[in-house]
Amino acid sequence: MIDDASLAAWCDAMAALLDLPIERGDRAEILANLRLIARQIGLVGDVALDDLAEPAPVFRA
Amino acid sequence: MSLTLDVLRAAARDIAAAVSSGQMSARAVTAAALGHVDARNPQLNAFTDITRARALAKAAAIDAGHAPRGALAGVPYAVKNLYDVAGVVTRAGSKINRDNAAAATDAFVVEKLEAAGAVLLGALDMDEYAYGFTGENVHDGDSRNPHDPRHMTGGSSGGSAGAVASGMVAFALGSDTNGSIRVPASLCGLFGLKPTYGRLSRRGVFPFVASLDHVGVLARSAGDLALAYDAMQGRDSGDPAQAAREAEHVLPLLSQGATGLRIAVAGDYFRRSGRPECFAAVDAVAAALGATRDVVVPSAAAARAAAFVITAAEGAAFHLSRLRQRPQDFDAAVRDRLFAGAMIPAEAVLRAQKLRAWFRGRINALFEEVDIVLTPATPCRAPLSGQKTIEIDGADVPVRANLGLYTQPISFIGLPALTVPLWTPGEHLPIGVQIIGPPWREDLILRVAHELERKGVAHAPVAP
Repeated sequence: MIDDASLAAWCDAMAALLDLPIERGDRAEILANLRLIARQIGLVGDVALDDLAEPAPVFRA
Repeated sequence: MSLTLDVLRAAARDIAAAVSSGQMSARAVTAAALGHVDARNPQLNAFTDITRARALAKAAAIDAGHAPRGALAGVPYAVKNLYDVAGVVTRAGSKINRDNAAAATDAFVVEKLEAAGAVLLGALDMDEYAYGFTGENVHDGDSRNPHDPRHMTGGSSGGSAGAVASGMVAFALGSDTNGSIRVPASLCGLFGLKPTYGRLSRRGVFPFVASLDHVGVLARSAGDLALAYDAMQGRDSGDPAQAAREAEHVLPLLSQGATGLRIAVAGDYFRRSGRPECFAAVDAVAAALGATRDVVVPSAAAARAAAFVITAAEGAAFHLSRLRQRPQDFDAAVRDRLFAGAMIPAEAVLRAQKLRAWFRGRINALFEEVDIVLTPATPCRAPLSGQKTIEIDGADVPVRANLGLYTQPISFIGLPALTVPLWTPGEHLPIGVQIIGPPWREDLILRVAHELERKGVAHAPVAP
């Protein structure tokens, strides 16, 4: 589980790197969404996948 | 020429037959439908744009023999406002897109419907940029459920559901990335079809998550779904995700019914986190079909989570320039979710895409053993408009995050899926059951839906 301080630091760093004007939004809501996303990433990670598993094809030549 | 058919309740096929035979004029049908839009739309807020002049011109052309009297001759329909309609700005539920020029041409599937003789009445309300399950929109107002306007339509194709359930049109186009056709179909008591990913061209449809976006249709019968779906099929080099398959028409197959199909009810994930009425609806459908088998869709929670991650990341990437330049012009709830989505690490997105391929393999194996899987379409009936939480298993859970609980794992791997509407005696709001088939077998899910209609289990009355 990611702690709130780490998530807030991630949010601010990513906003600076991506030039996202998060001050025009609601930082508390953004952090709440990041917490939700972190939980979803954790659920995805619960499934053991082989290192060589291929991602879904999203491009065809 | 006088009206001999109640065009506000009639099936599309009956309207087309009446117009094609000369029993009714397309002009009379169109005028009646536009009159109903004028009467009902102020309360229901389904339409954002009414293409009156275009509709009347098309109807006159049909009557004069200058436009085709095809399978949808004179049938009134409308499209979610993310479809390009020539001369109309494709707003996609947003404030920002209103500054764009009007579309120069129709979307591919709109062209196909026009060629079949259908008459477009306008464009329909939706959640901003299709990122929502409620049908609520801060710019255009919330779409209202015709069966009780105090309640939400569901979304994001909320206006599409409202227009069909109120009888303003015979069918409407929606789009479905995570459940945006199947959810409002459930909440508004309609049949709603999301075909296989890559089946129908999305050219001229404003994207949300390109790797998950589908176009589809809502109607008041399985037959009308099949009629519109068949008309929209066709190869189009303009959508790079469209599969290299020829049209496979389903309407002639509906009468085959469900006999002989191996039908199962999904357990585990799909029997949790819902209100009792959603499971009762699945049981009623299973009983009507004689389905006694249960199956487990493996890792459905992880699949839903992966769909969530891909949606957030890909949606944010698509909107990044708008987020930087006009953050104040987004719906705040959409903006803050997109901000968060932009910050997802690449490894998490790639892992979600790997899970997608893995999950598809597991489900393909499941479909070696069964032909159809039944699940709830939504965990509850339509909440009140503006309602933030629903009570499930004694706990209050967020409406917005949970309406797509049962649809997201299915669209995640592009399976064809369809909502059928059920009504419980004493209840004035419907609830839907999701019928899922293997890839490219829209015929099977439509046959089952048609069978349920024939047995009187599923039906979609026009709201009084």
